[in-house]
Amino acid sequence: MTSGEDRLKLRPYTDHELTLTGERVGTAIRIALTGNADIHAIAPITVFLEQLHVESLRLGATEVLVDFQQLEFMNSSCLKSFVTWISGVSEAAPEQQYKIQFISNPELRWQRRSLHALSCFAADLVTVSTPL
Amino acid sequence: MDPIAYFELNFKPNVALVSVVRRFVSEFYERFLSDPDGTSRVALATHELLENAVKYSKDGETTLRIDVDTNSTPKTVRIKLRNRAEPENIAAIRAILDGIRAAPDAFTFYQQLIARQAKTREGSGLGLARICAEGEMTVTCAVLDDDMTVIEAVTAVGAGSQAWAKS
Repeated sequence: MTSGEDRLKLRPYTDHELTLTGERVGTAIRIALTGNADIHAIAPITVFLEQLHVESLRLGATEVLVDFQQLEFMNSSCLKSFVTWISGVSEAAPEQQYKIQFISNPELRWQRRSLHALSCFAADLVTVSTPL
Repeated sequence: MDPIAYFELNFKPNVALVSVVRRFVSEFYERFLSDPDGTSRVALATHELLENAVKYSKDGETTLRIDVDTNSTPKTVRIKLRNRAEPENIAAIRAILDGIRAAPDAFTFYQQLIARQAKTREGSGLGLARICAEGEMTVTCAVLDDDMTVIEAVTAVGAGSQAWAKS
C-alpha cells in the first residue's frame, strides 16, 4: 500500500488544447502530454516539469517516462522547457539523477528530429523509444 | 501545370491562428507533396516563423507565402514570411543566421544553442535554428525599407532529397 508521503504530488493540467498527466509506476514516474503544445502551453509545461523534478527527487525516482504518443506538435519554446528540465537533472548530484525516456509516435514525424536533438543534448540521461 | 504552385496568406496572426495555419499546411501538403517527412518539416517551419511574427511583428500584419516548384526533382519548397520588425529583433535574427553560417553544420549550431539557452529563463531563441536543423532548411533574411523583414526558408522534399533518403 502506498502511503500519502509516497504518492506522486503532480498537479495534472488540462485546457482546450493540451493535457498533462503523471503517475507513479514502481520506481519510475510516467508523464503524458496529449494535444498541442504551442505558445499557450509554455507556462503550464514549465511549471509541470518543475514540479516533476521536485517530485522525482523527493520520491527517489530512477526513471521518468515521457509519453509523447498523443502529442500532435511542440513548439521550440516548449521544447526549451524540456531542455531546461533535462539540464537540471544533469546538474543534480549523481545519486539524485534519474534517466529520462521519451516514448515517441513514429507517425508524428516532427518527433524523430526533436527527440533526437534532446537525446544528443544529454546522451547519458536521455533515450527515445518507439512502441512496437 | 504551372511549375510553381503557391498559396499566400495576408493576416494578423494570433496565438490560436498559428496552429490553425500549421494544421492546414500539414493537411494540404500531405496530399500535395506525397512526402510525410517533408510535409512535417514544412509545417514545423511555418509554425515557428508565424510564432515569431506573433511575438515580434511591429503591427501584427504578416504575409505568409509557400511556393512549391514542382518542375524540379526533388521538389523545392520556399516559405516566405514578411512583416515589420524592430531593429533589435532584426539584429537577433541576423545573429542566429550568422551563427548557423559560421558553424560546421546547422545541427552542431542547434546543439550549441540548446546548451546555451538551457540556462536562460526567458524565451527560447531556438526557433530559427530548429527550422534549419530539424527542418533541414536554408534560412535567409532580407530587410527592405528599414523594417520590412523577409525571412525565407528553403528546402528540398520528396524523392531525390537528402531528407527523403533519411526518412
